Amino acid sequence: MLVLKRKEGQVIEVGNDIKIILKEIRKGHVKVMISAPDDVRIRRAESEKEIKLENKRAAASDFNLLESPLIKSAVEKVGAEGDLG
Amino acid sequence: MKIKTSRFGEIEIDKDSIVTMPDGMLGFSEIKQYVLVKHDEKSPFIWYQAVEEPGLAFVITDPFAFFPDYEVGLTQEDLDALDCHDTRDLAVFVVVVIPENAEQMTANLRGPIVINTANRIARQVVLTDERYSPNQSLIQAIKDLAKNP
Repeated sequence: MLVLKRKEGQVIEVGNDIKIILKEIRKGHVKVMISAPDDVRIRRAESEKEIKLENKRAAASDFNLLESPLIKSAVEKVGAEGDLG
Repeated sequence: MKIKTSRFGEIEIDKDSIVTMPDGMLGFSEIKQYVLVKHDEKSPFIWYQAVEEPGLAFVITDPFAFFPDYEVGLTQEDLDALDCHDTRDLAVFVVVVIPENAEQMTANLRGPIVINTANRIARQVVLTDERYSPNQSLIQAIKDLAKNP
C-alpha cells in the first residue's frame, strides 16, 4: 500500500504499463485519466457492489406485479420478446 | 426434467436449455445453473429461474426492446470467461427490479447477463460505461419510445 501526494497534472506509474494522471482537482472531486493495456480491467470500486444490490432487490421482486394493469398496458406498447436463443 | 420453484410450483424444463454461470449472479455466486422461462407469449419479460434453488429467480428482459441504442462493451476477460468465438452467438438480457409501486420498475443496464448461445455459458458482466445506470427507469423508457418511434 502506498500513499502519495500529487498536484493537478501530475502522473503516477503502476508497473510498466499503467499510468494514472490527475487531470483536474476540484473541491469534492478529482478527474483521473488512466492509461492501461486492454487486458487490465479498470472500474469504480463500488460498481460491483451496486450490481449486487440491484440483484438482491430484483430477487426480492414480487413477480405477481407483472400482472398489474399498469405493467401490462405499458408493455403492450413494447411488444413480445423475440428469440431466446 | 422437472424442477421445483417457489413462485411457479413444479415446472417442466428441457435439460438442454440450462444455462451455466461459472461465477453465478453477483451476490449469489454459489448458484450456477439457471433456466429461462417465458412469462407469457405477449410479454417482453422472461423468468430467470435458478435450477437448484427454488426460491431464487429474476425477471429479465431484452434491453434493446426498451433501449434501442444500448451498447454492451465486453472486455477480453468477459469473452474468455464465456469461451466466446463469435460475438454473434451472444444474447444480452438485463435484470428487472419490480418494486411495490410498479411505476418505479427499473432495469440494470450496468450489469447485463450475457449468454453464449453456442455453449449455454453465461456471465453477469459489470460495464464500465458510465452512461448506463444500474437502475434505469423502464416506464420512462417506454414513454421515450412512444415519443420517438
